[in-house]
Amino acid sequence: MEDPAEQLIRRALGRRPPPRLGPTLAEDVLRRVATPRGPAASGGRGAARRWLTVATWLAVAGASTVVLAHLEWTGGARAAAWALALAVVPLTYSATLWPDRALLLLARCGGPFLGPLPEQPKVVSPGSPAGRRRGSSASPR
Amino acid sequence: MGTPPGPDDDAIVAAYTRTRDPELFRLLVERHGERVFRLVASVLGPFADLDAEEMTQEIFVRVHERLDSFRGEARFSTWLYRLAYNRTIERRRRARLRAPHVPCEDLEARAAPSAGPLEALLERERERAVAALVEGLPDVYRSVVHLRYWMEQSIDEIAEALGIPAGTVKSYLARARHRLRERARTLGVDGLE
Repeated sequence: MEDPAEQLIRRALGRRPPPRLGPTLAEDVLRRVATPRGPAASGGRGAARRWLTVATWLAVAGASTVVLAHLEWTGGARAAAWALALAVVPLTYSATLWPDRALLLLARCGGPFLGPLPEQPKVVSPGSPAGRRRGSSASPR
Repeated sequence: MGTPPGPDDDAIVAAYTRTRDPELFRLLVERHGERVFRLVASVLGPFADLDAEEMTQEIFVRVHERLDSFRGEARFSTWLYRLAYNRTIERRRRARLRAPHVPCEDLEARAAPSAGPLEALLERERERAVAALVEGLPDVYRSVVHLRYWMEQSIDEIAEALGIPAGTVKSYLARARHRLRERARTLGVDGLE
């Protein structure tokens, strides 16, 4: 005999009937297995993207090293440059993987330095009610 | 649900990896499809916004892709159900859960004739709260509860589906009910004492 708590759990879950397996599972699976999958193509693109990422990362890292090694720096400037390079390299790596997030991060970091965007003057079409009002007041009487 | 007649799974897998005869893979799907489906449905539960049959198909496609990596260190069925369970848990964590919803017509249909609309509403709210509490259980307890109380499986069937002894299933069920009672007491949901 089931206790009331078990009956309550059963009622609570029974509001949605449990799903039933259709008769065509094997056929559907075999069809999916036989059909070349979409992600296979994107898998190729994914591999290309990974290579591009690694190549970009290596290029940036190599260029940073060359620049830092060949220029005359004071001790403090060299340390700052290395710190900047270390920050830029992972950012470049991320930018190839998640360009939207990298842009958002740059915008957020750069926002305080750039200040608010200048307010654009409103352009009013002469055909619009505002344009007509402005035109009418400016016209000689 | 005993061992199906015919060659054992490992022999079929070996033959399939050698010959790539689709009929052999069909045999595996037909043999294990129903149990994988029940396992998947029990992990997804009533409120996950995922289709259990679609997920089952996806698991068999995944099995097909990874069949070459099956080394036969465990039984094929153990490997298959472990893969199905892990994959479904992973998908469930990423899926959107539909909040338990109370349709009005369902309310009217289920209300006891003697009970007033307020009692019926309270009862439905209690059921909704309990369903939400079940959703909050740890994965394995929730699956056992779904298999037992939602899919009406016997203890032995649950044990077979999850690959654990029947005693462990009973223990999981008892612990799950205990957790539900504790949580209900904390949140002021009655009916589970």
